[in-house]
Amino acid sequence: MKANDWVVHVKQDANRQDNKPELQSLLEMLQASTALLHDADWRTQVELQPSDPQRHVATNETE
Amino acid sequence: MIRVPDTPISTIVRDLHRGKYSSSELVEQCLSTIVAQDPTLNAFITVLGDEVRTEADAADRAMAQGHLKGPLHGIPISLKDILDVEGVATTAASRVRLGHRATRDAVVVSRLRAAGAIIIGKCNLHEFAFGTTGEDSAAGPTRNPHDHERIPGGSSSGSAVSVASGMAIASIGTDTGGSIRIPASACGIVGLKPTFNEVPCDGVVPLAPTLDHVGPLTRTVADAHLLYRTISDDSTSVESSIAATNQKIFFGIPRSYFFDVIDRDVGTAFESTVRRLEATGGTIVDVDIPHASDTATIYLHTQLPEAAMQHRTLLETKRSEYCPSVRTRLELGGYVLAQDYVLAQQGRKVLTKEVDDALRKCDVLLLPTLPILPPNLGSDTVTVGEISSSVRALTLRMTQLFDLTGHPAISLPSGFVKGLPVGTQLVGNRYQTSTLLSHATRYEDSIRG
Repeated sequence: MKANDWVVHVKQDANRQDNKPELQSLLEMLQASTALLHDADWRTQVELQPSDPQRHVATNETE
Repeated sequence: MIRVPDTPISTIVRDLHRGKYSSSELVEQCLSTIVAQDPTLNAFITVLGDEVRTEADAADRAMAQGHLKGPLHGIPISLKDILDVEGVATTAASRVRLGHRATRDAVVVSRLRAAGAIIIGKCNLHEFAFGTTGEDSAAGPTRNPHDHERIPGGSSSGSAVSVASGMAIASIGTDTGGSIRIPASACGIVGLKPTFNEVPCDGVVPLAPTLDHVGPLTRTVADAHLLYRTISDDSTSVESSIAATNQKIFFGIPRSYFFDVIDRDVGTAFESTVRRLEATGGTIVDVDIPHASDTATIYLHTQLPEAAMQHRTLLETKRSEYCPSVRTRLELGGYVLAQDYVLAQQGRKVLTKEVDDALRKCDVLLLPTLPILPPNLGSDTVTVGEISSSVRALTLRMTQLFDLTGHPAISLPSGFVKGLPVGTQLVGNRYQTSTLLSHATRYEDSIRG
């Protein structure tokens, strides 16, 4: 499941809880925070980069 | 009846040994303070009155025969009520734990007892240590001894209040995002978060296992050092760590991010502390932690899912027993994607390297413990300058980075603003907690002002 689909899913799921308004509000905060995490400039330093010859990492790309 | 002596624990034990007063008298004084003040402050969930008197009597008899059990002989110490004591409920300040009885002591409690300490009681906390105010507790909110309408900070709220008000000589708490240092600062005492994994968490109710730290809340740095050595695996001698610090000390201030949102009066008080440190031989340098602004998001994506995992079953079976705000945040953790948790762990490595790098340019990092004064009970937000932020975010702002990276950090009282205590935080190199404590000891008077 992609992150955006997941957000839709969790909002629907949260609607079933009896603390719906509070949880929905926190979910919006979490969504904004997750966007920051995805935008972090160090992310490219730590994710597998198949095109980076210096890292010599095995990739899961299909031949 | 004696007054609780305003001296370090080592001096109290020496005075006990000399017969100046007895452990029984010390314990009775603490118990009478609990009777007088706890109906208002609400620091304790369980007071072990009869057991404490029996243990104090035994300590006095042993002392009379020349047997000193250890450096905490006859000293009444309180525990945050998420540490197991055999035969006693570990409530975690939650209705979820109703009916619990611990079958054995936590490792830390065993070590305290082996050193001669007397466990006087179990202290109130923010439910399951998941909060920074001390308000959400099945036992009701704890109040700040300096202003009863203000929060004492949390989650080790009762521990801090018990020490600040003389109900115990020292206490043991836990720190996952700042839960030892925040209440220590708000209540005007010393709080130490050791290096991650130096103090065993066996027998401690977990919140987020890769972030949880156990540590002491005390009246002096010397007491924090004594308790740290008692409960930790560190075997460094106090003397050798002090000898290592007989040199010029460089204090590194990480100005960006940490000072972006800070109450003006708290900032002014901090600058006064800086000047006192300079006047007593400290050298101040600026340091940078380039990705400090990513701390909150990395923390959120680590702490929330770990806490949700710990409570997964209980949230299904005892959902209605939680305090609503704690339950909602625990449920929130179930919505963090696994890949985002993993990404956050990579972010922790980046932050850890950056804190290590900053500490290559200085001996300790220096910053306030809290960017604000303790807010009024019931406040959800606080306005700093023109920015309104959640109390939770603000109270964690200065402390949570060092839970993510595992560096040791200590909060020392550094005076008062508008009648409320403010704290200064020192952060040291990983696995050099004793050296950090020696630096803190050397500059304690300057920081206190």
